[in-house]
Amino acid sequence: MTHPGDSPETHGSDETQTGAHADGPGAVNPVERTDLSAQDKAQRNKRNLAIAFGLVAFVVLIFSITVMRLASNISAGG
Amino acid sequence: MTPSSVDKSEGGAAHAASPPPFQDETKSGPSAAIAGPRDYFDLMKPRVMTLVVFTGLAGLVAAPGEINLFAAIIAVFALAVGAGAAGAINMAYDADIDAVMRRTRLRPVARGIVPVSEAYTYGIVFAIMSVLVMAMATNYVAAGLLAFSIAFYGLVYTVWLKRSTPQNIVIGGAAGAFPPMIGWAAVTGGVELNSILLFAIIFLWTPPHSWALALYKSGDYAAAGVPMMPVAKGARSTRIQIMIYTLAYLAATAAPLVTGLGGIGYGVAVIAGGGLFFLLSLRVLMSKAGEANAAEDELYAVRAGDKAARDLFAYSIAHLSLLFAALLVEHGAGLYVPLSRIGWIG
Repeated sequence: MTHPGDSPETHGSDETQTGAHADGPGAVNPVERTDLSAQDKAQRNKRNLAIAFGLVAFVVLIFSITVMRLASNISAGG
Repeated sequence: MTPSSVDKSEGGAAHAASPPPFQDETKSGPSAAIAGPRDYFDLMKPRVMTLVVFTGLAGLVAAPGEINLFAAIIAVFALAVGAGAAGAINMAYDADIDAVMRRTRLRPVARGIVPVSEAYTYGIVFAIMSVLVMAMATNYVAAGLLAFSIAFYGLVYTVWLKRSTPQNIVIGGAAGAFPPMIGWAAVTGGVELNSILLFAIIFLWTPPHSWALALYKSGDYAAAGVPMMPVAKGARSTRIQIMIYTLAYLAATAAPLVTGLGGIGYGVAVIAGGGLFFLLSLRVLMSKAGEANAAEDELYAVRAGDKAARDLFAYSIAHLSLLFAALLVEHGAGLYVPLSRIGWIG
């Protein structure tokens, strides 16, 4: 998330912003982030919605197939 | 460049002077666009998917036996997703050559908006999901054929054949020929003579179709280092082979009339449509298609001598669609009238 007042180079986690572990052993390199344009944010939101819709649709699909198979097996006397 | 010297490493070297956008995926700056749902949908080659769905549906409808309507819809959906998954894997692997060719340079991975790794992940996930759904909704034979066709296109054709032999689309064409066989298997649970005939029709249709395009886009393929037949063997050899495969293809299209799969409607499509297909192939054979050296300005721009090839390419799609539409209407709408009714066969 982008916080008000952050510079473009310090949009990482709070740790990377303070540099608390920047030089220590096992240091994690700060994630380089960039500002997104309004268009890019809109694209990202659309993509997130598409993924959410896709996951829900997949669950519904599997559920529907399961019901269909159950119904056909029951009607076949299985 | 000699045909035999064309390989992937050479293609990569050719790109060194002007790196394709996909190599830049880690350098996305503030102005870099983010891929949206449409870009990911384009990864699935929707136009190819359309033909896959259509031929797969025809196979499913023409097959003897019954299938639950919901299962049939799911089977066609799984087929479409599986084909799209194979397309995404193909785009991921071919990003370097896609970026060079005018026809493909706007594909999402080629222009760098979708990273290669994401395209692979996307393709593999959807491939697994499509096979799983096909197995659950229909049977293991259809699911197995779907898995095999995805692997054949993604690995055998894309990774091995495409950059290594001018027979790439002849052998690789098998991947595109599976959909009606898969649709058929979804209903019957097996592979039968008629489903093999449907496979053979698309398999033999692919060379004249693809080589007609390659004739007037040979510059693109040569620049990308893809040894398509006109690049590797020359335009004249390609035109001769187009005619040979056209004859084999037309013979295959008549076979369902003998087995009884196709009725009178299909027979009319075979005779009328096949006659025009033959004439257009003959026109390509007699032309100088593929031999002009003018620049290829636009995606489907046609050089003066290549009109015959362009016409064959466009008509080949219409012809295959016509044949499968005839099967679809005959078997789906109850309009099947066997040729034996008028004493042609049997």
